[in-house]
Amino acid sequence: MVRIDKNSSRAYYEQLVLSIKEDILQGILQPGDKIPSVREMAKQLLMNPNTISKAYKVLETEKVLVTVKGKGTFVRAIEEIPRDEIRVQELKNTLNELVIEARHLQVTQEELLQWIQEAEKKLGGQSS
Amino acid sequence: MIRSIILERYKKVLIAACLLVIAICTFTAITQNNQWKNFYNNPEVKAQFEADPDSYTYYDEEKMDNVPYKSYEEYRDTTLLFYSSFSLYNSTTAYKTMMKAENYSDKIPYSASFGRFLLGSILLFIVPFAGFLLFFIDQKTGFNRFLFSLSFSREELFKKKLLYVALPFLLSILIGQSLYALLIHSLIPAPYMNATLGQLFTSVVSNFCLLFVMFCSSAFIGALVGNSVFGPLTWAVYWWLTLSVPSTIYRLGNLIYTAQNILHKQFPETLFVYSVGKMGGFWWLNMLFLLLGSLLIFWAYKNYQTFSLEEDNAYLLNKKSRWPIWGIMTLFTSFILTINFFDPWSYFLQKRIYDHISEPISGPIFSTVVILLIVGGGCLFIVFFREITTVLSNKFNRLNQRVR
Amino acid sequence: MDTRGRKKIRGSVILIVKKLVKTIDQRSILKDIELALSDNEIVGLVGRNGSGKTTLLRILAGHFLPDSGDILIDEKSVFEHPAVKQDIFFIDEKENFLRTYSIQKIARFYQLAYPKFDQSLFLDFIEQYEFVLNQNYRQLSKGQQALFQIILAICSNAQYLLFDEPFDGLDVIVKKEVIGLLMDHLGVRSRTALIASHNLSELENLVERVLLLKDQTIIKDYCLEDMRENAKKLQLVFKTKKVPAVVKDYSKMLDFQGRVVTVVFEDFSEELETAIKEFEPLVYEELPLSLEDLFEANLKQHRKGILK
Repeated sequence: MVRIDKNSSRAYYEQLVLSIKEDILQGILQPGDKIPSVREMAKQLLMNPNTISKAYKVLETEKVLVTVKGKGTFVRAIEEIPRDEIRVQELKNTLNELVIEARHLQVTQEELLQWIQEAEKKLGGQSS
Repeated sequence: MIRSIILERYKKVLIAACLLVIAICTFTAITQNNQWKNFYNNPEVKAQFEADPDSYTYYDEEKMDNVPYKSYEEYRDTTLLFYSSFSLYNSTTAYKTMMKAENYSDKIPYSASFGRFLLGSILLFIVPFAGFLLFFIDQKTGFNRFLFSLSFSREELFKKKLLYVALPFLLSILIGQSLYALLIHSLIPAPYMNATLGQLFTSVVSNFCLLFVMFCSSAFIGALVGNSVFGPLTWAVYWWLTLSVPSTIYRLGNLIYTAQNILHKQFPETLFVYSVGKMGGFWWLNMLFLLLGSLLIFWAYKNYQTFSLEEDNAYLLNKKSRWPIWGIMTLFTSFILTINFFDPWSYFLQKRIYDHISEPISGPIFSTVVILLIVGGGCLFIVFFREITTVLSNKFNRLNQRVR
Repeated sequence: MDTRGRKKIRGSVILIVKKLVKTIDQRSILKDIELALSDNEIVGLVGRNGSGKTTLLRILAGHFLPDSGDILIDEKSVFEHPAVKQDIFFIDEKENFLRTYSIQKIARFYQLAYPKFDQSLFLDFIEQYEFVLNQNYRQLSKGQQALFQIILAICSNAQYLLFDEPFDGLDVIVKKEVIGLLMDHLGVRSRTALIASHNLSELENLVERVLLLKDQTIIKDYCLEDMRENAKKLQLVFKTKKVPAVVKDYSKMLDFQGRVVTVVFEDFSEELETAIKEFEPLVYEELPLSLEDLFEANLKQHRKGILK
């Protein structure tokens, strides 16, 4: 569920974004589900509504959520989401940096692959 | 809406206070009337007189001796005159003439023969007390915090407070006293009611001006003091001193007469009209009272705009006023104490004028200065209490640190 | 004033404090206070005990008059145009006047004081939180009083809500209700809240901006999300006992025990990282940065040897 880890050095809104994405991937939030409004979320999490609003905006820009006026905010159906190639390229660059760092730290390729598999496992079924 | 806020807070109290004032005035009229009617109608009084007529006497100036009344009617008519005077005239023909309704002298201190203490006394406490509370209550109950955070300027707050609370209250005094005048004039029959309606209303005006200045000066104190204990204490002492002002002034008047070798005349005690009666006061004194009261209110108004609530429990809410207030306190208190209580000048003048012994003037001067110094020192301690204790505690701390 | 990590002010700047100075009993409490609040933000006011937070709030509310300086709302000084004060709401804990009245009467006062007061919303809240209108304020528990004050603040419809330790002394349950209520309301309308508090871990979740009060002035104006991204808390052990200049110059010390130093870099960069790593630290660990760390880093006074 959506949770903020204070011990993470990530901005709160970023954590929210990732948390919601994770929920979607794990099936806790399904496409078409209604997400609590900014207000409700702020009240539930006891958090600054502006932070939540920012996270929602980011998710909307990334086409993960969609707001229907008068009705609320919903999880977008997967079929509607095309791959964002720009961000995919960014992800690839990040991966490159990770590989470099791993080499530097003497982490082997096998270890890396194992980690990827473990992470995927945790996310559960949803493959695209 | 400041008006709504003020009324929301004060409506009940204000109505109660105004009704109280009017009730006191009405009640006094009724009581005095009852007492008078009682004396007039009571057969026992006549019986007592006739049982021992010679014991009822009056001082006759011409004969310079106590003389019994010629008849019960004469006795009754003299004593039943609603307004009489304890002056040197007394049952002489001059006195009898002056006591007639249409006659009036501003040198005769007329007072009601019945229920004298009722009317004046209670109002002389209630009115100034209400004045004191006018601004003091808001400060001490934290209501000022609320008022000052509102979207109104301090000027407006002060003015509206005066307009919606002080003014109605003062008007109720005027109405109450006028009602009293009307009542007593109609209840007591002529010729016993030896004051005309005109005289009574003049008295109402003068009495109002007196109460006005007492109200304003008390409001002034209430608006300037902050300490929960010393604030009310200051007002109480001030009130008590104010009650001594008339006798102080009269004494001073007599001192001046004596000094000017006017020995046969008493200074007329007609300046202060503390209850409504035949005595009408003086227009110039009324003007003086109105002016003084207004000036004090204005000073309080200026003060109200600049005091900051962190001074809440300090003696004075506004630091700038300390020296002027100290000056006034010292002078006022010393004046009253010197003339009315310790009275060194009477003795000095008496010796000089009556006994023709030349006492050194240094005597009374010394007494006066001593009183000034002691009062001044005491007031200094009270007014500058916080500063004194801060300086002392700083010195104490520094001493402690050095010892360590 | 250092506004590191501070983004450009969102929205229009509406409440400005200029060069506020206040001395009480010959002690300087506030000196040259400057701050700006825009609409729709939640700001924390943080500082050590006795640093002047409450005094600042009282001046903003009009209880205390500053020695000099100005407070402007929409470019109008509150001293010359007191009408703009209808957009400031503040209840001081020493507000004795509340104690003598019933809830209904208090609400009536505030309804008269704030032209934009929402009476129907007030009644909804009363029903929702099960208050009884003719109850006396002093009969309420501390939690209920806190809740009631928040309700008044919300219903006043003032733009700037000032709070002084609003969650102090409340039990966990009512505290969540109070915070929830406040966050809910602030999410609805674009109001601004300035919250002075000592409970930094709580404040962290609620505010997007923090003002740090020290030495009678506001020394820092942080935008928290930026700090979380750009600032770093590092635990370092160097080969030598001497801490490299690059660390000393660009960071603030939180703690040191023997060779282990914990520091906070408010403005971290890759260059700094490279520079530090050149010294080949034995330990280079990134720790999560909290508001408490920022507080301690800036406000703790370091004595030689023993840390306070």
